[in-house]
Amino acid sequence: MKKNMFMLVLISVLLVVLAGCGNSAANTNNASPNSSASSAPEATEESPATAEPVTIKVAHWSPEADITPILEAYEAQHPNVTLEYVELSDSGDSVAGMKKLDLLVASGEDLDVAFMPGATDYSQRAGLGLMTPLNDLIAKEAITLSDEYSIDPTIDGNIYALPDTLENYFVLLNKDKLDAAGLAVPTEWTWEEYLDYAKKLTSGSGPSKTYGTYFHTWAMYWELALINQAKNNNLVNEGKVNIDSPEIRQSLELRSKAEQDQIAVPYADTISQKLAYRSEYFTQHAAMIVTGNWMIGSAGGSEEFPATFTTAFAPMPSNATGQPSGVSIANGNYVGILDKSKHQQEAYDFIRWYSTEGEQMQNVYSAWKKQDVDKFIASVKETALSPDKIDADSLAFVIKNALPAPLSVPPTYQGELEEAFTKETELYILKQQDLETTIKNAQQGLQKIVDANK
Amino acid sequence: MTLAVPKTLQATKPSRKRRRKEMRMGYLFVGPMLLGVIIFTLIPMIFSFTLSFTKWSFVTGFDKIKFIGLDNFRALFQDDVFLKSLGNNFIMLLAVPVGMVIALLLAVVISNHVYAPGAFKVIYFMPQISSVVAVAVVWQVLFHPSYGPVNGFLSALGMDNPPKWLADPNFALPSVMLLMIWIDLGVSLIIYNAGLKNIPADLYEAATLDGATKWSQFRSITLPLLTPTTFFLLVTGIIGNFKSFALIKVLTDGGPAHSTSVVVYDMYQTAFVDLQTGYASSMVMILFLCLLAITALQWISQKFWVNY
Repeated sequence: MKKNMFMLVLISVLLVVLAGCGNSAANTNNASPNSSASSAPEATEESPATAEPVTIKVAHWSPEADITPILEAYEAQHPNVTLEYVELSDSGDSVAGMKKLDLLVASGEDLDVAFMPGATDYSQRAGLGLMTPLNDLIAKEAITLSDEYSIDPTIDGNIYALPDTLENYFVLLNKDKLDAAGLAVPTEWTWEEYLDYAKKLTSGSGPSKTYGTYFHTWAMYWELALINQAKNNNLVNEGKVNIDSPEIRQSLELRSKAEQDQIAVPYADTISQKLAYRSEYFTQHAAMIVTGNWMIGSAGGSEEFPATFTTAFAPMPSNATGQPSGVSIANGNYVGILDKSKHQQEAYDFIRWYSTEGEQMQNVYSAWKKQDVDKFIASVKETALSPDKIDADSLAFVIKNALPAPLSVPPTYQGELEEAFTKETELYILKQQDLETTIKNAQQGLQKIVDANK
Repeated sequence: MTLAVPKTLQATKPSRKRRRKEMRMGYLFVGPMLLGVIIFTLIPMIFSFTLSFTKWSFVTGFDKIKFIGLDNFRALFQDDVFLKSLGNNFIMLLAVPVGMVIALLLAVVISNHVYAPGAFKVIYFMPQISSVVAVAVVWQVLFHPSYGPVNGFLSALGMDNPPKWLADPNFALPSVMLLMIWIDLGVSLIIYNAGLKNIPADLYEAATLDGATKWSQFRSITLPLLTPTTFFLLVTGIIGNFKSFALIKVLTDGGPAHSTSVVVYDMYQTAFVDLQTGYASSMVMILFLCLLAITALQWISQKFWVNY
């Protein structure tokens, strides 16, 4: 009797545990078909009325406080829509945010809208089939995307996301150091002159040395003379590997020259100390950095890095005199709808609004063509911690004269390409191999990745 | 005889009952742990094994799993980064015996030849109880290529071009190994110390009476009687060495140019950055086979050198 009792207990414990597992597994598997089955008919039956209250889950890596006012504004205009914010990172870290997004999606969270920081993350997730193609929804609204946005998010004929912010690149300069060295804020310049500036801005020695410039570890800093091209500005363009090109050679030589003349923060310091570009610039360890629009707001100082000097802005240098300055690939944040979302139309309405009017509510440089640049600059200054530390004239010049080059949305394996490219260039800058070997190995390495992904 | 049978039955019955009860209690106590192992270790392991034959990304849902047979494994052996990582893993194994030799010498010195041995044990155990991240950050600064104390010391000695340590593809892996030895020294030291305490003192007395030198005492008494300890440290050390991840992630991110990448790091990168779960699973399988082979080798070889 006792034995039976025990077995009963044991079996029931096992059953509960198994049922628990089974249930949760079944839940995650069935949740979408089940709930979509129950809600889909409602949606199709009552969608013309649109009175049905809908909850849309929006995932972004920005701190909740920054984004809430925008979401509330949308809710005020659309009483039937409730927006639920899913904060992917509490520190605004987009890399950590993407990891969290992947985990949420993998664990069956019913997200509707997801933001992605940059084309690499966007194309990777589109390639995996996470995002829903928006072609039909765009056709239904009858808009031409290229009239609305300055970035074309098309991948193989499909549009999986709308462009949100616009990021193109320019140069931030420490104007105080510039004035001390008797240099003017450049409006038209080449990489040659950039190095010249860097040389003149380098001063001091030892740990308190100010370097002329700082190159971060990202792959883009190994292709500076490529990303300022109007066309074919990616490592791989339409399946053709672009390493053995004059632009990449120029980029690598540029970087190596800065390293050898000791006018750029040494690469060994950069990687072994894991330096960050913000701290390098704001602690005046480096006087110039090539960076992008997201730094416009930061130039006025943040709590972590208060602005203690005036920041001026210069356009992206050109490869040779005669070529226009200010050309750079236009990247940015993207916003898409998850394939599993049950409220595609409502989600689409929201991302259209967010990527246009919603954008105007925060200080970001938008990919929307109708953005008022002057208003944007004014509001940047308004919200900056130290507005007088932003040189408004040069900022206006750079923004108005920027020539965003159409970005060919990278292949879904862009991350792997960049990794392989960086590996070879690292060996070059650390004097482990010469330029020709680097070009040859990188060309072969990238070709291998392209072939493997055919 | 006929009477004896029920007698024995009667005699064994209560004890059998008791044994069953003990079994039951045993299972009850082991149960939660067993369930945990099955759900969180065994099932994921089997799942990972299955995944190694698929092309799949964990973000896409189960309906997109695509079986591709041995393709992953074929690709692995043409993957330069993976082969480099696997090679680094084997180079890094050197840190285990080197660390053990140092630990043994220190243990002998500390237990016999210094005052306040406890204080020394604590000192050597310090890095082990500190967080890996904190230790890594401290060494990052010590190894600073331009202004770090290590290179400051070397240039004070008259070295013109001291190595760039973590930023030099040739020195990065040895630097990481150095840290691993330093971090793990404390544990090996304590365990060796315990091993030394277990050696009967009369053996040394007898040896001294026979006129044996300190060195021959060490060679003929200490070393052989410590072989079980050495064996234990070797097995756990090698397994731990294969798993090293945190230190590499914090210190070098596998760089420069993959010179400090190991299989676990490459796996992390592939699975959670490149989002290729299937391919990453096949890496884990190779790692699993390597560990299995090494452990089997150690078990087989132990009977030739381990004295209990």
